[in-house]
Amino acid sequence: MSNGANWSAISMFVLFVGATLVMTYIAARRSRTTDEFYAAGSRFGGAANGLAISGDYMSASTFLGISAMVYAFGFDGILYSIGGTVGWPIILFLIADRLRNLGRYTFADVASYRLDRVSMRGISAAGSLAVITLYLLTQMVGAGALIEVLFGLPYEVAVTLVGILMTLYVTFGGMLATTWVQIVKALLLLFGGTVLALLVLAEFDFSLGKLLEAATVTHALGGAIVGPVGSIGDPITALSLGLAFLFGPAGLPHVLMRFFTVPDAHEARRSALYSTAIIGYFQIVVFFIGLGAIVILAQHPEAKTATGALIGGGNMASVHLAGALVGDLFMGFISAVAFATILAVVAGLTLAASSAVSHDLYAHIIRHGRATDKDIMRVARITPLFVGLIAIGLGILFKGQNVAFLGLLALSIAASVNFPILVLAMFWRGLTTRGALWGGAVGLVVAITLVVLSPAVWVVVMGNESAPYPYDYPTLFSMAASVITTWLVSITDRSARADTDRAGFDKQEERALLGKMADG
Amino acid sequence: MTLLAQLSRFMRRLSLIFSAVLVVAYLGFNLAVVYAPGWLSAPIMEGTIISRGIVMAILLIAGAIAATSLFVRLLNRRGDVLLEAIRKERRS
Repeated sequence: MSNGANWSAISMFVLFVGATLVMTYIAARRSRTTDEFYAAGSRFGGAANGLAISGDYMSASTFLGISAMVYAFGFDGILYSIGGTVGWPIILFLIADRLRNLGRYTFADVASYRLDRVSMRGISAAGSLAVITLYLLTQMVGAGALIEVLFGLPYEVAVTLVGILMTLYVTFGGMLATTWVQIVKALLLLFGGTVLALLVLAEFDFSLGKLLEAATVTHALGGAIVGPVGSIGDPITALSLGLAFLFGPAGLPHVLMRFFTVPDAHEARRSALYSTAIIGYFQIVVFFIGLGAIVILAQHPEAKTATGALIGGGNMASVHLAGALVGDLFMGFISAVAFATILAVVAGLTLAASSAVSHDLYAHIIRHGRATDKDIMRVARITPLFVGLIAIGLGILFKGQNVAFLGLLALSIAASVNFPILVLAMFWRGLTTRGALWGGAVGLVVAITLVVLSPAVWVVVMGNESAPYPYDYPTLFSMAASVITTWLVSITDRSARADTDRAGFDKQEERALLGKMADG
Repeated sequence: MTLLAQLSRFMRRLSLIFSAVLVVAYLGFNLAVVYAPGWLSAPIMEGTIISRGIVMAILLIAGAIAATSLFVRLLNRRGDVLLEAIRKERRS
């Protein structure tokens, strides 16, 4: 199917695009003010928003990537399933309530609540845009390659199509359309994944033991796949990867902005609960899909090339599984869902970029909070256009490159820059503007430097012999550097600004706990 | 102690305890993968192939969901009582 168009997949995808464009048209009439554009008027309930948040996180890499990991390594794949789950309770435990009560549209609102407005918005916007650009790049490159295989469309056409659609959703439909697209996609993904997992389990009388038994018989690694096979082999990697998974999601701007689409802290809590439950459930579903693929694809030589690799690459395990278990129509459906997933995720990223540029940079830094709603909306609608062009350009430029490490860098930056700033601003009275700026900058520089010096870039991309930094993940060091710098600079900060920063804490704490009630 | 200070202390304590338990459990599991792969690969009991590692992984995910549910319940119960009391105090 890699040669020529796959019509059942294409027609189902056209249906999805048609439906989402109708939603965008309807949403456009309710996306005129900044409040509507950034936060959909804060009228979503916790359940709907929880679904949308899980949609933002359940990207093609979760669905296709983790099932591919399980297919290739068995147990080691499930390490990524756990990792993908544990970040969400952290958002609830540390962030959800206070974020909703202190912010309006972006997490920079919270970071700048008592600290210097211009500096904090600047560093928060920089952290956000760095994370968004890296994510967008990995998504575009992944999307192009995936769509080439799934639909038989040329790479450049696929990337351009994704870029145009995400710009349309965001520019015209704002947060409302983006959320609806995200919810529809999340439901489709949950449905498709659940059906696939149930079909797998049905083949083994719903017994995990029988499924595992069969998998160990078929798999090249044999009985070893029920335990670790070495993809996490040293304590530094175990901790770095762990910290990125734990604290990365709480620093992702496109996830954080979703908490402003609900009316109050109570619904923010429920959003976090629903998203955790949905994501956790889906991770287990993906594990069964991966195990099923090991056994079932072994009996389907038509899914493989002459050398025994999967047609279209390891990421196609779940797509081929759908074909093997049901047939072309279901394979088309799963392909269309995978495409829809990418589209919804990039739309969320685009909206987050638009908020950071128009709300943080334009309205608060360039215009010092004196811009009219109309001016801000103009910038908010034009930004997605540039984001779309940049995304298409980067996507084509990086065609065929291995960009997986960039997704990892994005999560590490989120955990080392955005998360410490946000959580220390919320909980630590002693944090000063100077401390947050230095800490954020050090976290950013250390994370980027270590990734450049790591094997993924130094050896694989740049072609050197061996890497100066021998680990794949920077988070343990970059996060520690960020937090220690923030602490050290803050406690030694004797500036007048520092006094204002510390003095503002009580009022902020009151607002963080009471929400609108604090306004009297 | 004022009601507001009580609410602040309650929420901070809850946040700290729940986060700490999750962080220790998850990072501990990751370290077990490095230092005790053999133990994790061993079957959960005789006569099955299901390993300790797979059971612990599923329990970790299920536990994370259960913990969020408990956290929300505790916060809704005690936190909302305090909030209501603060609201009354401020009205009068």
